[in-house]
Amino acid sequence: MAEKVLLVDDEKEFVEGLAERMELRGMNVTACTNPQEALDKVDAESFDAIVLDLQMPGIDGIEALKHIKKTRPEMQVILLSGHATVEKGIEAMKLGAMDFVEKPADINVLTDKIKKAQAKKMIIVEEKTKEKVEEIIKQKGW
Amino acid sequence: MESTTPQKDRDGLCFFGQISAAISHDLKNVLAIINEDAGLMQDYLLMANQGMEINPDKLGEIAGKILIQIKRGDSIIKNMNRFAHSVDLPECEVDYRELTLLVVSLLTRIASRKSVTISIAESDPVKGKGDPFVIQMLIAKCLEICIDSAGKDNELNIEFSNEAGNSAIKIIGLSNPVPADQLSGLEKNAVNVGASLGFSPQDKILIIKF
Repeated sequence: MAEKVLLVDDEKEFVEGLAERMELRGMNVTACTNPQEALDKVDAESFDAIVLDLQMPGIDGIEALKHIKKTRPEMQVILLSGHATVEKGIEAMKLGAMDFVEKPADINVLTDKIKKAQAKKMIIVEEKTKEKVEEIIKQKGW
Repeated sequence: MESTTPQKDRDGLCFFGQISAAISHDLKNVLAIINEDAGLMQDYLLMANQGMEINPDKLGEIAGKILIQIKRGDSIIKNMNRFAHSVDLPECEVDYRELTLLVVSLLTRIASRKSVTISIAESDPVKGKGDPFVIQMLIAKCLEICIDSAGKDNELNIEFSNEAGNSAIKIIGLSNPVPADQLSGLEKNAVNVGASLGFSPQDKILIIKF
């Protein structure tokens, strides 16, 4: 199944190039250069992986990550940055990011992480569904 | 209390570090775009090796994008070089307008993260004597505070004047009051550079006078 990816970075040329390469690898990519628009998309639909730039105008990656983890905890976030510091990486992981990748990213490494994100999200969603079914069975007393 | 020399040195080093970090970030972005575009070209060539037809226009378009990023990278490095050489002489003839243009270029990322745009008015060179590095540091500190004061989605305008041997840089477009502690910190910095500050809350203007 094609991985559904949301790619968020304020550098339009970067987003366009990376999105095209991901699509050539069979992924279903939604590209976004405006962080607020990206958060609206996250609220409206589901993604297997969100590749998010750490520094953007208005809302930075850490703020966006907090919002995503609060509203859609099952979605997996991979933070991208041209400003890779150990502190930011640790902060991002503590906040629930699945991984942290430094720019320029290796497409094979990134693709691998996206596939892992999809698998992780599927497990979380399956567990949630199982819990829901068990809850319904309990309530109905079947 | 007056700043001690080690503190002044430390302030200078911090400023140099802050600007270097912003430059490295911009260069990383340039490299990331070149990396994706060169990679995309490689993807298409691999597909061509497997028998898929490639549209030459597509390759031309990608190569054009790479050339644009190389120009962008070159201009960032030129600014970086000018900034690095600004510590060469402790005093020389300076053009305040040129120095402001350089500082604004170096602070573009910081301003854009806060969604503030900075425009610079046309003017003749505004010349004087001074230490280019510390003058840049003062302009940058003033601009950073003005960016915070302007607030999201607002614009700062910079104008210059040179009358009777007095040069001035006017930053227009402040929205919120500048906190008193920040203003007194700026005034100390200005004294160190041999400049003075004028702040007009009602006109939303900060003036640096040399």
